[in-house]
Amino acid sequence: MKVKKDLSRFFPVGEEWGKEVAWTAIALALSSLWSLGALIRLQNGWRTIRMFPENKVMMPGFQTIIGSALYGFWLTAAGLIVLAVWNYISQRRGSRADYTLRRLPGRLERHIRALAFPAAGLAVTVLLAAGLRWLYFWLYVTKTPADRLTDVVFIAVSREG
Amino acid sequence: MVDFKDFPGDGEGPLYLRMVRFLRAGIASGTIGDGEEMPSRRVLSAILGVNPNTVQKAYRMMEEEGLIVSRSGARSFTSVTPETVERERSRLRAEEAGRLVLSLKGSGMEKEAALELISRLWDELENERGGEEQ
Amino acid sequence: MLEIKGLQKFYGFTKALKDVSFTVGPGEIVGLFGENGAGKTTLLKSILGLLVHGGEVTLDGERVTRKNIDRLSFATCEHSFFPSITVMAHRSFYMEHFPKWRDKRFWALMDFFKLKEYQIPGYLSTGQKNQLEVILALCQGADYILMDEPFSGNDLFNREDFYKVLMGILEPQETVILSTHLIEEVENFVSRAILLKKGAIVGDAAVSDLEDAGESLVDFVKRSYGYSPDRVRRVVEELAGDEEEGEK
Repeated sequence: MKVKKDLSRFFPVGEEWGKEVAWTAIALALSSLWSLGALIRLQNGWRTIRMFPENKVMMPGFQTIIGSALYGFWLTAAGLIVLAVWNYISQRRGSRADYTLRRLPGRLERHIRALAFPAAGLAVTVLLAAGLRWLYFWLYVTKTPADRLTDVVFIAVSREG
Repeated sequence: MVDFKDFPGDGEGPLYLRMVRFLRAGIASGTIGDGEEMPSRRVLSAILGVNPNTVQKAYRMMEEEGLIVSRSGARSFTSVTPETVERERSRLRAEEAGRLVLSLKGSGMEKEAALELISRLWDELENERGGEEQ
Repeated sequence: MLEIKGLQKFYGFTKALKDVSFTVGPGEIVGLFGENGAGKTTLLKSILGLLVHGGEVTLDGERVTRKNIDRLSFATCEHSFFPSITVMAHRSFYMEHFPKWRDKRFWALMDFFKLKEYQIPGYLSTGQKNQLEVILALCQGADYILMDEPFSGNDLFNREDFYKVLMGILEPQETVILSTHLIEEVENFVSRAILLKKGAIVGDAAVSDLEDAGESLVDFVKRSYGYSPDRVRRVVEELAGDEEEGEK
């Protein structure tokens, strides 16, 4: 790791935190890749519209476009929540290290160590998912011919217009 | 330095009394002389695995009996004169004899019979010794 | 002064601790005795705040909170160290969180027990794990060191050596509360005995007083528990009687 800073105090004692960060990064990368499904559906929609101009084909609703695109992020989030729970459980595995952690003058120590990374990870997951969703929405609204959008979105577009 | 190496791990009576008796026995037998340094309370409690308060109690009693004196802070030294040795020898003998008397009396023996028994055994021991020397 | 006032603990409907009260002062070495299930572990964990309990625990008049909890340390047969980091890492962790860490004592005990700083507790033998657990509790810099059966798994020589070392290194104001069932072994070095039975105190005596009264610790314990030596004799006689009947 090029990062010289020792982040181990934000993780359970003795945890190989590099691995956790790496796996979470991979999960987020894969989730982002998976979300490209929305992009594919966008392009399918646009292509259909182009191919049959006379038929006045409508663009599918945004919810349909999104579909399962963000499921990867839901999964990652669920995984991070499980990790948070596991962090607490692991304090009692192999030995009762929780006795020591609960005796520390620093009251928050054991909670910081259990929750810091899952919380940060969840924040990044939510931001990434929201960011991609917004990106797809922006593409949806700007790249689709106005008359092919369904009503609800039309209003939003005309406001932007 | 007075050596408590051979202090018996168990025995009769409270520990602190046993420690005092150990010192007395050493003085009586001559293995502990005058002006020998006593181990510090903390060291002795560590060597014997005994509470420092117990050691303190023992040392206090030893001081009261004039067997040790405290000098320069926490250090104690034995205070043994020929009179002390004689006194402790007599004491030890009296204690031994006392135990014997108690035991014989307890078994229902009369004084004359007891004296006779002791006399006989004494002579037997003398004869054995005499026999060995020849 | 460590004051325990009216400690109560329920596990469901069972009362594990019944109005336990006593005071322990600096320098005392207290033997906490009782059969399995008497409540020794529950008592120690309650004092440390590891269990929710009724009643009050105060240190020099103040309730036990984060402000003074570093004055209490804990060694348990369940082991409270971190199984996957080195001994050295434990030292760093303790030094970071417990400013009164006793480093000189740490190295002396490490040397005495022949433990190495690069060792990982998870891979140590049970005896060595116990030793590390006890070292950490003794070096935290606490005034009151609570130990719950810290030697289960250590052989006799190990234990006796340890008692001796303990006597040598403890300072006059350090207090130990040691829960154990090895009464004869600790008889020589505890200064006080507190006896628990079914969650209540059935005996609390200074060893010095017992000595003056000519009673050994073991006898005191037996007396306090209402131990009846007749029990064994009666059962044996009964069985012997049955056997004779059977043979007839």
